[in-house]
Amino acid sequence: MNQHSARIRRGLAAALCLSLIAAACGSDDDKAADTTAAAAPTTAAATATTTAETEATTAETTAETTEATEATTAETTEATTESTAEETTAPETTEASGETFQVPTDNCPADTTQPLADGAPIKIGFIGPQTGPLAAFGVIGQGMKVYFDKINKEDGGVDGHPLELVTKDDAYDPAKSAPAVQEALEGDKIFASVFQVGTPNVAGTRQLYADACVPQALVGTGFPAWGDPAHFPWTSGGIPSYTVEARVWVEFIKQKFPDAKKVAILTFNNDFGKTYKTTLDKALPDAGYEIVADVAHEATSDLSNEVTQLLAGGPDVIIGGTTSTFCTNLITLARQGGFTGPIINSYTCQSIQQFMVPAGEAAANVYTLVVAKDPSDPAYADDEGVKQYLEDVATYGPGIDSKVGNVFTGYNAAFMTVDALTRAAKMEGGLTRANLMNAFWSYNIVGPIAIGGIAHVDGITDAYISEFGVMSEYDPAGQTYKVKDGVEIDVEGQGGVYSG
Amino acid sequence: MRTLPLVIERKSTVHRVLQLVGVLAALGFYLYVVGIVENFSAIRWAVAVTLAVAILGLNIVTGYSGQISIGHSAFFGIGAYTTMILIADHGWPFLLTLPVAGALGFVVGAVIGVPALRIRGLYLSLITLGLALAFPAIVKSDNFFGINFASLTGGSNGKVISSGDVTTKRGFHWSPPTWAPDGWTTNDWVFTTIFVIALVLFLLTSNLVRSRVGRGLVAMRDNEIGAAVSGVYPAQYKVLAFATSAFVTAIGGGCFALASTTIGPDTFGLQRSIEFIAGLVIGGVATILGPAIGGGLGEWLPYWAYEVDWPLVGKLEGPQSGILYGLILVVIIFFMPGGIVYGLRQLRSKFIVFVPRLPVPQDISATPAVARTTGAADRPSSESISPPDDATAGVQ
Repeated sequence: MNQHSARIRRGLAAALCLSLIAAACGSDDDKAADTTAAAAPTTAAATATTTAETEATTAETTAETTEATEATTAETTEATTESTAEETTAPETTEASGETFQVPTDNCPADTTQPLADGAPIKIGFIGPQTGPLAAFGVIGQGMKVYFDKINKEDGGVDGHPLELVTKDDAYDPAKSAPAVQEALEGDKIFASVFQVGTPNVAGTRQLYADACVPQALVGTGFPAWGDPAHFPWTSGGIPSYTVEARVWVEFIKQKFPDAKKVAILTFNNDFGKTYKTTLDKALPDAGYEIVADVAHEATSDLSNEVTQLLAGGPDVIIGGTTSTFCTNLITLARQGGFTGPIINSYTCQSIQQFMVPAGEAAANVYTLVVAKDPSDPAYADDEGVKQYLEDVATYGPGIDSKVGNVFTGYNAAFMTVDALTRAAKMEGGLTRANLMNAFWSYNIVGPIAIGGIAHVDGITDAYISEFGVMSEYDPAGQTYKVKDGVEIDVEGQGGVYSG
Repeated sequence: MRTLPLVIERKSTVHRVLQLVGVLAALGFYLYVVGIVENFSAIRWAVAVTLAVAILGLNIVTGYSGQISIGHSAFFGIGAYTTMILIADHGWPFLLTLPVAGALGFVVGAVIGVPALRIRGLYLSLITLGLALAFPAIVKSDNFFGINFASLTGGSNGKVISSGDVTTKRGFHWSPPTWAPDGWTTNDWVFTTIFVIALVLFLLTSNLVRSRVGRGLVAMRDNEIGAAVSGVYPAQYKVLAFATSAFVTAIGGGCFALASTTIGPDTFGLQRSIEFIAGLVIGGVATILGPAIGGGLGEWLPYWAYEVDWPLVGKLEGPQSGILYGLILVVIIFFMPGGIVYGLRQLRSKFIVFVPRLPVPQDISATPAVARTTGAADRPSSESISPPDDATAGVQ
């Protein structure tokens, strides 16, 4: 018997090793999650099924890129603040003009409309992966803490309340999010949660926030459902949705290629790709374009058939609503097929080294929405916002790698939060959770160095906060995006509110 | 005079009293979670219990019948998605979804059990590894041999246990019934439900492994040819082991859906399977209590590693807490090589030793038919000399 149980034990040990190896190959490494739009390929390779770039993953990568835009906006305003006075108000951030969304508080606990006690800390929750394969997103919290520490030190917090960051780990597993959020709400009694990451993670917990009447603001995923104040008033988005991106593309074609008439669309046959497809199927004909091919591809396809279908219609422009290596395949196959016209890529495959360089010279005349200033890009070395950010990290977060995009993302999310808190404190009734949520639904931030324009949201006609960026051409020779020569597109306000 | 270890006969009054203490401990744990811990922690305990049930299922196939499965995350996921879909999309009451979840698990388990007839050891674990890898991909797939799973499961966006009706709080309710004590929250009720289901499954499994079938499984594990000679039909037993195991794990999955309220494809990835195996090994392979301990640690160890504010170093960063978690696992296995249950048994054997109740020797002269098998009467006495099996199993 002992001999046999020893054999089983040996077998188990071997099986554990085997599975650990498989798991190790299967997980995204930190680097992948850190670089923009890089998470997909490693996952795909690991699961050996070319796993569809999950919507959530793209959302995350999107988060980094997009957030930076807002961050730069943020920092400018902040820089201005500092130069003018010690005031906490940023003069250039104002509430959206006109009527803004007001959260209903009828079914809320009584403390929803009671102001925070004088001097009590404002607890801001960040619920996201701190462990597990996507733990790299955890450093978003580090970026937040840098900015909160800065505000605490330099301004004494917001309206006399020190800011306190509460992080909860969900290991990017939606099943772990609900317990983590419950704990943050009931145990830590957070005042608001910001930049929660992961589409299913946010979807699965928004009712908890709604029940507790606690803001779940500026969530870090690109799914369009977060712009739905009528049904989920306590949840608001923090990065551009794929719907918005698709609108930007249509606007871009209009401006850049006035002669184009026929458009061919390739989308990934999953939730992520469908978001593009649904938007384009309506927006393109509305703008007077003919859709000559509308092809959805599977995760297992090599795209050769699909590209043939695309080219058969003789398009003037090809739009690639897909991601990962499919972007590369689309470019190379279309060029091999003799197509020389413009190709528009999803910003989820913005990564130069991963997706553009492999396409080589074929990647000329390819355009992507660039929404982020990269703190590691020497081109922004003199940028005021980036300089301020680097200085703050050096001061308040020694040891933190400021070049990591996710730190920048967190820093920006914290800026947006402080802006909303500051405005909420000035509202009638003081700094209450209801007022804070109202403030989250009314942004109107003008940043002189923002890549695209004004971040506006009012929750009534416009529930999406970031709706701009620069459509930039890729330069195969220099292996860079020509952002300075790009076309600034601002579809701010066109996103409206979520309609299911 | 040597007083320790205390020798207690099984099924004697003293043994029964000690068993009652065990039952009271379970009751105490239940009351502790419902009455004392904070409301939000009750849900983590509920999740821990569902993991324990899943590991209990794994134990049947791996612990008792000796077939290694890395695919139990898939059975867990099948149960969870079944319950989730039936509640969220079809408005079924929770308890009715469990038989369906279990049955689906049983069927898929039986199918996976078929290769186990010819393949064993590492090679079998490779097949189950394939299952673990395929499951999340199938859940996300919208054209898996013509079936659109993504529309059913919510694809990569996951699924929320909600009726989608925003006018009711939390959409789906598993609120305490009217007869529940005052002050019971939804979490308390969720925990109670899951705890009772788990108790039933633990009792059933405990009975199963002591039954003819259970002994057949163990015999097959220890010596397949010997077992076959003794009337255990390996094909039937192996498939049955896989199917039963998947049945239990799938019900655990159904409960998991209730507790966690949200699931996604990657909730049931390879990592989950490894958690199960780790939980089983840490708790104690081929024991009934092992999975319970493994489930509890599987949920709470990573949490403690991350949340605890250590005296000198403070709260650990995410990646560091992962290292601590791994370190704790290593330490446990180092000091209790057979898992915690074996470690405790070894400790207990220093104080108390249980011996089986011996059959009362028959009056040989009265029944001549038995007289020819006098060897049977000798055997118990020789057995009582050697220490009982379970007290030493962990030592070797």
